[in-house]
Amino acid sequence: MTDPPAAPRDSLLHVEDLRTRFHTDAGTVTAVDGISFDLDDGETVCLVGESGSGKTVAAESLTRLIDDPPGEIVSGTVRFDGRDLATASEAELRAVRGDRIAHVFQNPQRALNPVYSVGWQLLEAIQLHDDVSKADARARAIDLLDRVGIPDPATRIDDYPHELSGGMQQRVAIAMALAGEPDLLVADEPTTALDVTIQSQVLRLLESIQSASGLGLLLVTHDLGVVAEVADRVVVMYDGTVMERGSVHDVFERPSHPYTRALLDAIPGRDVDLTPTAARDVADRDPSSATDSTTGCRFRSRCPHAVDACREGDQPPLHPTPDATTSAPDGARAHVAACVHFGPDGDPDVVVDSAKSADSGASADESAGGDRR
Amino acid sequence: MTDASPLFEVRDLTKHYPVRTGLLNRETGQVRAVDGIDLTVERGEAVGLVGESGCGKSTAARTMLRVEEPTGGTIRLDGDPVTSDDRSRLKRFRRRAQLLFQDPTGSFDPRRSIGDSVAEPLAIHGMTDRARRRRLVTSTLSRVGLDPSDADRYPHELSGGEKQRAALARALILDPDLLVADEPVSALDASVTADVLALLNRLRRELDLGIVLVSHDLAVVREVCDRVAVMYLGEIVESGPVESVFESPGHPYTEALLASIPVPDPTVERRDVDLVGEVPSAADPPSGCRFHTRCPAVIPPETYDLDGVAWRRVHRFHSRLERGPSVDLDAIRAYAASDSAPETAPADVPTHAVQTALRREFDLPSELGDDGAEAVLDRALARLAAGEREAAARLLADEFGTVCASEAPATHPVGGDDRQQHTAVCHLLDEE
Amino acid sequence: MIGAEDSPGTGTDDSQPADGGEPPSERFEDVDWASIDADGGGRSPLRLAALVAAGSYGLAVASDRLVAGGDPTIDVAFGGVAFVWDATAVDWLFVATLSVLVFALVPLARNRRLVAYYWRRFRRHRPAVLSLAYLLVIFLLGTVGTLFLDPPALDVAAAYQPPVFLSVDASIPTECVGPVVEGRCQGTWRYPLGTTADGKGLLALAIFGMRVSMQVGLIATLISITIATAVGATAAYAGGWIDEALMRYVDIQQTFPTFFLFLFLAYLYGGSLFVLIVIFGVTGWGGIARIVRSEALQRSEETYVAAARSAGASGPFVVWRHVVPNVSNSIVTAATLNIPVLILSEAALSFIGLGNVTLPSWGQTIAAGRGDLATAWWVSTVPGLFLFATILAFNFLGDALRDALDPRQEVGR
Repeated sequence: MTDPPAAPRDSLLHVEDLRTRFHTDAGTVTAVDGISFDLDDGETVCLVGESGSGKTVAAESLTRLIDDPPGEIVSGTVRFDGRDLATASEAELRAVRGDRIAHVFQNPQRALNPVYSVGWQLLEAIQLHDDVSKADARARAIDLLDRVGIPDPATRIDDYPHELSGGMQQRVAIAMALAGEPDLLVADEPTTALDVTIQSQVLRLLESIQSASGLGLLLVTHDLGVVAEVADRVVVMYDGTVMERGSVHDVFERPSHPYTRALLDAIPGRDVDLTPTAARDVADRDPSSATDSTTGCRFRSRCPHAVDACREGDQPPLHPTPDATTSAPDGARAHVAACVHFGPDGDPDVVVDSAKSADSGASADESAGGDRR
Repeated sequence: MTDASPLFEVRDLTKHYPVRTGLLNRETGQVRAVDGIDLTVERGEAVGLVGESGCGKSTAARTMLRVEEPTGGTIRLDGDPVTSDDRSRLKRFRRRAQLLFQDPTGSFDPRRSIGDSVAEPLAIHGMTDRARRRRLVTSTLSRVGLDPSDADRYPHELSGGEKQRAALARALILDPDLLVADEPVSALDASVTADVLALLNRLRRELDLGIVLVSHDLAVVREVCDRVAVMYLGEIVESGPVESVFESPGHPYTEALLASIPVPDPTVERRDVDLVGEVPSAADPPSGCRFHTRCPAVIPPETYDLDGVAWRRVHRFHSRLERGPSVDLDAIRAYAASDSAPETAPADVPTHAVQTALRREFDLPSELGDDGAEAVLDRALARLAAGEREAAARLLADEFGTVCASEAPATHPVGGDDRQQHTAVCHLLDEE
Repeated sequence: MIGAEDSPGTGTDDSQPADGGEPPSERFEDVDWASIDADGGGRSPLRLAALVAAGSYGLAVASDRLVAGGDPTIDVAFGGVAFVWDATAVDWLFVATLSVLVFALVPLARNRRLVAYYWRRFRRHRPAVLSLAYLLVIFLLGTVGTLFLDPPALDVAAAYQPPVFLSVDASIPTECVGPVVEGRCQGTWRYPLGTTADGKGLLALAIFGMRVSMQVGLIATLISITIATAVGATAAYAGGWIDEALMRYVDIQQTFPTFFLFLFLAYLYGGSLFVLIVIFGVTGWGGIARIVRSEALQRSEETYVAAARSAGASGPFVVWRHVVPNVSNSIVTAATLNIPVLILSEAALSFIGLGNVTLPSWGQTIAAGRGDLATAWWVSTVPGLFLFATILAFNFLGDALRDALDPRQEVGR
């Protein structure tokens, strides 16, 4: 993280123009439509979006976890540690999955088999990864459970998944993911099903694991609070495309794309409107219901700042925002937004200035929110 | 209202579920899901009920509407007691008090159009005129921000937010005075959440509706509610005006809940909360203050000089021995064996190694920092290693007993200012 | 779109002007519930129609049994066409079954968009669509067609005629109706599917056989699913000892040898289609009741049931309005797969001579032709093919319905 103009090859994970489609009865749905981002060792990148934004499909497309058919990865590069996973064979992918890239899902039951004890499954994962004796593997499994914060691990190791609470199951799922000592952990809404108190424990756990082992963490979430707590960088997705990308400070302090601003505005407790309310009523039409994208910016119909230029062409490219002071001016780590107002002919002030007074109010409110805790 | 009685008043509400085991299905215990809670809602007032899952807040919501029969307590609407003895009175209560569910998808019959489902309460309460039902559905749908033509659509054709609006229409169509909303937005996207909450607020003002909002999300409660009650294991531990409770919480549990909320601002440093573990089973709630097993501020004994972290770990170990599952000594020996010098059979592991493994198993520090306490802990561990769990627990109880575990705390006022005052149930407030 | 009084979702506008107070946009605050409570409520038109239909059905049956006695039920002639119909007990049951089916179509007609949705899903199964068309033809021929066609008549002179476009050695038919070419009797359009040893036309026999098959399949299945739904839904919703008692009874009933009961009754009273239908109907519902119960148990846990209950709905209301409609997919599928089993059973019983020998059922005709397989192969083959196609069609239909109506797939896009 010392060289700002990072060549894409240097990052642990480099995703470029990834496109995933689903062929359904109602037609073809492009769930992920050309997303790009980078992730480094020891870095946490959050894919943020609402349901239907394609964030989960994007995460599962990395190691081709999506069902094919009906899913299909149409194009794009997924370079992981110098190797292109998008063109890798199924056997190569199997070697990467679990071993180098591990997944944690929203629902821990997806990772745990109900008919085997937790220990049995952990042992299997450890022995798959390393050729160790059963006793050693068991000791290591207990260490892993201890590491993910399971109380009395030596006793609980013989429990079956249903004997554990949801939070404990998620911890075990994380332990299973860590068994292969991966370089990248892809966690898809890992705390959504959990209570805030347990969520905060699991987030702290992920952070401590990351600082101890230096793995990369790709966190898929809809919760901007979680993003603010753990992310280094943020990728905001809407309807399969990247709307805004940048460091967590840039995105939260100087949200640029109207969609990001609307998202931040919608957080309960932040009473101040960044977007005029007129944009809100369409907000809850399901974005995934549109089978295929029309032309122009996808956020156009909900956007308070939409102009005629938004109707034309494809989704605008990611333009650098003018105030990206803390990040590099260009390259993968720049603060960019896919909005015409940030393009060469646009005027970012249309978006940012329209609520300038409200904006300052919002930050005042935020600090108040901080005090109130 | 001119009369003094509040819109809705719940006193000492309890809901116990029997635990049956064995071949004869004998009742061997009770899950005390709701264990004596009081709640008052005035007209046009929104009261939040918060807590982690498993604290009994959803059961409380269903029980106070008599969707489930309460085990005890009284429920009054406008001062009139609500009982299930009088069917027509109960039916009138059902009209005046409505429940809004968490899952907007599941709460609609997939085979009925939205209009049909929204009109259903009207039909249940005897409105046979189809055209009139339709008119009411149309006007109600537009009041919750849906298009009247949505009445002909089916649940699968609506987004989650639209369905929750329709569910709100169904709850309002009987013109209730009280709405109990059980996690109304937790299944929705963030932007939709804001809209639904705004709608709820607007309708509350418009209809002078009393609202009980059950939620695990304190931010949602802060947005909507005037007063809040914090629930833990079937009891209310703190209650009062939202500002007062959230700004100067009197109970460590409230404090921990507040600290757990992620703040959507990357510049704010997260405060570490020492709230470990999860809500214990309501079938066997801890003695004294029910929160003492997890409490980050559990009161230490005066006899020993322990620092906070060490004391809480010892206390947790003690609680674990009192209440937790049996300790699998064989597994711990095996673990100690694999950890120590090569080729030790589990039976030959030296006692000190077993004790080290036990310390590790129960997350105990290797040094407590107080010689007397250290000696007690060593003796307790030795008894445990010898398989005498109860003796170990007794020793810890004698030496490290705390008022939090032995006595139920009383209710204390919190906050100086009269208007901002609220109450909390905690031993920490005993002296004042 | 009358009630455009509200701008949705914004937290700013407080009170809307209420359009001068008069409908069309009645607001829920305006409802006077006290008067509705006092009113007590009336009956819906559909329920009235059902009552009227049931009443007139009862009257018709009574008049046929008591007044008409042995005379034909209907004996009218318009123009040159005489219409004579002497309804048997089975016919009356069949009429009742068809009326119930008509009432079952009412909710379908009311929810046309939902039906269209299911139809789109069903349409994906090509063989099932073909099967449905085939079964509709069979059904219409068997019910309406047989009213206007002459029943197959004995005509010894026309025995063993081959089907049209086919030929047999001229020595086999007693007398060849069609031309004899090179010593072979050619089939004719007069008997498109040939004739039996009695000279009955096989086409007519097949069509009248359709009626028997439809009667057996539909009546007995309707009896079964009615009992099964009532028992299954009651068991699931009531729970406790009622559930236990009903389900243990189902266990016992399922071990009961229906076939031997029928043998016994056939021995005592002779083979009768009525007895066969009733016995299969009232003993064959156990499996379906189990399916209904387990589905209904799951449905009772759904939030929409809780929502209806918390709005004050009674148990029967919830069962009738939510539980039964939502298990109907399983009921329809089970019924569709139950029909071919019954048709096959009837054919088997007729084949071994335990049916009503005077009825032109497919099984009967197959049995009649089995001695002539070497010479007149078509006698058994034609009804056999119909039987085969019908069974297959019902199975295709059942599988496709199971897929199309599966609620687990409903949530998707």
